[in-house]
Amino acid sequence: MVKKALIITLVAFSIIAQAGFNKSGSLYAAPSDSKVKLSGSLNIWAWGADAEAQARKDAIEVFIKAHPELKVTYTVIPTADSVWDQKQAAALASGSAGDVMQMSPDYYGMNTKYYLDLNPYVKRDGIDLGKMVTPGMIEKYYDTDGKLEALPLHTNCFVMAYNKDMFAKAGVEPPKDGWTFEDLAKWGKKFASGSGAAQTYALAKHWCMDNYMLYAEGGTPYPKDMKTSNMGSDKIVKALTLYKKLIADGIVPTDTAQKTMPAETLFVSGKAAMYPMGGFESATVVADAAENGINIGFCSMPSDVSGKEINVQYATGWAITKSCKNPEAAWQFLKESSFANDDMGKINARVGIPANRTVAESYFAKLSVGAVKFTNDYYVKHIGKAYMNPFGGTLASTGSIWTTMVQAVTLDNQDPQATVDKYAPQIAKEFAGYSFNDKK
Amino acid sequence: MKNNAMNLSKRSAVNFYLYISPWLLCFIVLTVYPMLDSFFLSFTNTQIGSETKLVGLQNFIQAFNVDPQFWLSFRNTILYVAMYVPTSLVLSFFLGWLLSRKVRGLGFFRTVFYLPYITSGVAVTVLWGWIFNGSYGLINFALSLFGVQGPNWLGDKHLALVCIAIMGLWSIGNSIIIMLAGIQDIPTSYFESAQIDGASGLRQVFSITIPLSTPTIYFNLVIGTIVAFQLFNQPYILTQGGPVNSTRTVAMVVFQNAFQYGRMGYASCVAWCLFVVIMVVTLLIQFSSKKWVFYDD
Repeated sequence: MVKKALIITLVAFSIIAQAGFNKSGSLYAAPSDSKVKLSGSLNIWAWGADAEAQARKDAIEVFIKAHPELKVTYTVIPTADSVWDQKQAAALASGSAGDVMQMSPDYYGMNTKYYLDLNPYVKRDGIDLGKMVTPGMIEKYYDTDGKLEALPLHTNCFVMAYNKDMFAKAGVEPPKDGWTFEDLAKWGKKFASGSGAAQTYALAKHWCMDNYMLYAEGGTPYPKDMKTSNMGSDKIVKALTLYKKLIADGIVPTDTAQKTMPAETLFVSGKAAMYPMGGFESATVVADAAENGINIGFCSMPSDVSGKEINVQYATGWAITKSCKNPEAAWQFLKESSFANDDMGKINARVGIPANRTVAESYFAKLSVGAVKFTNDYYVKHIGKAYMNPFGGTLASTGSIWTTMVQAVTLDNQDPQATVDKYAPQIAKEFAGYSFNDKK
Repeated sequence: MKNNAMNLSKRSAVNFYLYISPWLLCFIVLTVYPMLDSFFLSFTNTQIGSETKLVGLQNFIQAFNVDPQFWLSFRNTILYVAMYVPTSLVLSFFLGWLLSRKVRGLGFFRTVFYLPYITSGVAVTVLWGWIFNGSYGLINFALSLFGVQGPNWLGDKHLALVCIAIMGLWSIGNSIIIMLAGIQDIPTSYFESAQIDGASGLRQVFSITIPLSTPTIYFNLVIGTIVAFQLFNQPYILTQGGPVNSTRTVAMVVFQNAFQYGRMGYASCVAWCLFVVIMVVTLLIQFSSKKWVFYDD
């Protein structure tokens, strides 16, 4: 009788202890079992259009096939017209977002309260992300306080494509490693000719151009701890001065000159001698150039005055929301999408450098683009040096002011020093107001 | 007998509320609730991804004293309203009057003027982007035929907003149709009497058509003003608020803060400021209407 009572008491205590453990929510904060059998459902929200949307769908389908025990639903939302921005903002705020959300360290998702910190999962599973993930990709997913917001999916940086015939005609040697925007200001004038529809330029103004110019004179927009901004520095003034010259001399078209004529069109139609070609568009650019008989070659992106190559990356990853009802399944999806499923990695490789290091180095890097002698190896080698898109997501308001500064100088002919004096304090105020700085 | 009448009246009331309830419910859920909620948000520091705190009038202080885009966007918006509304009224009246004439191919012309209104706003905006393009645009190409080098229309901070106003005028088909209906509603006997008295066509326009069209003009003025204050699509697609913020409107500032910067609290504050301005302007128009709107009765 006493034995029975003792057993009942012990069982009751263990049940109460277990219930207390669950109530504390520690399963979410510090997962304890890495070999949990997956079950239940998983809802995934992704963004994308065209090839990117298709790649996303195909990769998720691979995961679905590999996990019949899970009921996976997903939706791919377009980013055009800010559809994704609005839907995800509303869903995250109301707690109705998916279990897994696509995010980007340069778009939206860093320094938020909506995603689980993935550090405990990484630690629990003993994953060495430095070995599993393509070099240069994981660092950008850590908040300033060390929280790991997401795992990377893929990323893209740039290579400079050039029109061999235009260079030969202008009598200019194609740029070699270490060339700078200052160099461009010297020889770029030889490409600037004509007017109206017949006008030609040395460099097409890709939408990433404003970001590249930030670094042109060795400056950086903010220090690594992001406590304040460096936008009032002399290097930014110099960069704006150089940008102004490039535009004024017709070496680079103005922003509005290209509003209706995409930069890529300008290049593949033989009106611009160079074009920063992102990994996400390489197949299209090469194919369009071949179709138009444009003979293209490739060189590295320009360096800053100190010799450091300026390359900017635009990355995409997956995060688990705090409202996720199935974090184990979500974590499994993140791991496989990022580095643990080569089939998914190869699908990701269709639209960028996959986070899966093995796939990136042994498969993606060897892929050649079109008939020209260019392989993705360039992107894999250069991604580690690339800056993250400096003004994405959380820093978008600063990016908007930087755009205004560029326009003030290049379109409205304002003095670079006066422009910096006027707008840098506004940027400093923005930095002071960023909530991630409260976390430190 | 009295009971029957009461029942009938009650039944009518019940029917009324039943019929109106779907709309009323949607109105409460989709309009009243979001409005009240955004009013509350305007007194908080709500930011997507951060904790929400009540901050009193902090957002309004920030808007009035700190944020340079607030006043700038109001200035741009008011400039646009001042350019667009009077011009659209004059144009829509003139075109409505022309379309009320008995001329050959009237149906064709009415369709042509209405078409831009039902064409996708994005498509129309992109089309005008090409027309105004400084390097490849239609206008500058036409000017170049006469040896004139056209300006960088959308790249010039003094011209960009004017271009957007012109673009807006392209789509006034609805105002034209409303104006046409108003003009056609004027009894023809007034014009016949005026003709017998020897009034010229122009005199008839100024003494009969315009005064008796004032209720329609008033309607178009109110609607046009409200719509113009909410300008968003054209600058968002074409200039993204540039060059140098010259086309940044209040609606863009609201959108940017809410959905690009995640600052829902501040965006709600700016939205309510815009609401108050629109309300005040509309009330002013309403009060002034007693002096210049003439009803046929």
